[in-house]
Amino acid sequence: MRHFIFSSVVAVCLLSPTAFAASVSALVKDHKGKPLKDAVVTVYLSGNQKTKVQPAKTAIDQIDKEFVPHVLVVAKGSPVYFPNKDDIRHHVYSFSKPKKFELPLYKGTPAKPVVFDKSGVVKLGCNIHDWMLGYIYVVDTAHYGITDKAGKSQVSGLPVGDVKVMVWHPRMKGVPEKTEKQVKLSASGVNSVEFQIKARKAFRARRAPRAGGRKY
Amino acid sequence: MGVIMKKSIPVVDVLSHKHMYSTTVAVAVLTAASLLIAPEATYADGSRSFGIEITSDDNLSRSQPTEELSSPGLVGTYSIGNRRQLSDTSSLNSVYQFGAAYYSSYTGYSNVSAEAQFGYLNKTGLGPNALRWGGNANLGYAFYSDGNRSNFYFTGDLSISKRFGDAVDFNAGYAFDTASASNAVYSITGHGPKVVVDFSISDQWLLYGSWKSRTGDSWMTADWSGLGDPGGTDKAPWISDSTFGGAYRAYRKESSGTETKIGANFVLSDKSSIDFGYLKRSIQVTGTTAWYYNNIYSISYVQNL
Repeated sequence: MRHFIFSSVVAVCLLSPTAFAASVSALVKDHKGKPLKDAVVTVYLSGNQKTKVQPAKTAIDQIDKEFVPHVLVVAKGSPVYFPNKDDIRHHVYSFSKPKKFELPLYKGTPAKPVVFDKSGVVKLGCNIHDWMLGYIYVVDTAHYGITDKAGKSQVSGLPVGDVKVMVWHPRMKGVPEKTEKQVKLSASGVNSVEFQIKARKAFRARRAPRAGGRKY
Repeated sequence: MGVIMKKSIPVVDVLSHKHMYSTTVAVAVLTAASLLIAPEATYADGSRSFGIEITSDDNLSRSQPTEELSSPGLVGTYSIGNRRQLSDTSSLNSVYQFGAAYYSSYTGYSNVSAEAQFGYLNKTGLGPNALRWGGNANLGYAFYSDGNRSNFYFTGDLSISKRFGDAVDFNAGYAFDTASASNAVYSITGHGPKVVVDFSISDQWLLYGSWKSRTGDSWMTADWSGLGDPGGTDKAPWISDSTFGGAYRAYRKESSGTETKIGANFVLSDKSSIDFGYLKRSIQVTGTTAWYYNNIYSISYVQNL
């Protein structure tokens, strides 16, 4: 009984607002020093500290023949809807290991979402419009963020102490684990961390009309 | 002289009326077809675009070396397109294109045209790297300032294509073309294999090369006071070529040859691109040592509306 009470007190302390008051401010740049938008920043607590991954319903739209947002971060187990907001049909698919799926030609929103139950990168395409490219990054942590145009992202609600921070980006060379940084978080002040990653050239099938030819 | 003029005027009038009639019919047919499609374009995968091209052809007259006549050209096009998805893997494209071309040195070569393009494409699997096969059929009418050249034309091809990785797109096929002109000299037919390779070097720059072989017949011209008849098989009676004037005569011969094109295409936005191209055409009159060559440089711009 004593043991139970002690454990409960420890748990409450760990989950109290003050215990999760720290935050990480990440800046992600490419190898040329240019800020990278859409880089996913993930934070893993060290030791026995763990927060439960919370799956949540979310969506990635198709607007003007593009996936919006271009990169979506979801917690493992999350159901994702694929609303088609264009007035034409799309055919969404993925070959990626964490989730292989196909939504044949459709308009509107398919009734059933796709559940992403394995962590990793899921690359999305449309079989009608080859230039359409999107990513779902499935994480197995409750603490994550995505960078803005300035390459910045802030992850809040973290406990004071040691954490591991890593990043992933669609054009990144290598795996996220190689970017891992150990950061000791304090409750006050900004815990800044900067990443510089090697980025590949951006490639996708062309959307622009082809001058000098008759291709539609 | 005055008598000759009086006699020639009705001939010109008859020809003009004939061409005006042909043009009117052709434009009416293509316009009617585009109107049938246009309402669907509003709801389906439709597009409208215009294009401008500046060209320089060092042998507009298709003459043998030493007799070549060159001209810069300005080409404008307006297109209405629509893609209809037939199934998960197949689609039908239709484009209605209206064009005008102006050649400042030889205005007889200037023309306006209306063309209907239809294309069927089938992907054999999912993703951009799936093998594709399809066919295209283009039917049009070009009305030239030099009425002899005005013609109905048809071009078609069957091809397969495949994208390899992020950078390379390969297309191979077999093409056919035929034209029925006001004068038989310009009514030509040909066919042959073709290969196109696109190579993306970045998200914006694409380099390409194409090669096409053609066997059939070609119209050509020669300075009758110079090289004259190159020999080979005539497919139509010779005529004076009013576009190039002087002693130039046009003829139609059995021929074979190749077209090789290289270029670079730059994406300006999701809706526009600019292209820099160079085309080399080499045509030999069958059974002779007579050749003509074209070197055509072009800069073109296209904008989706």
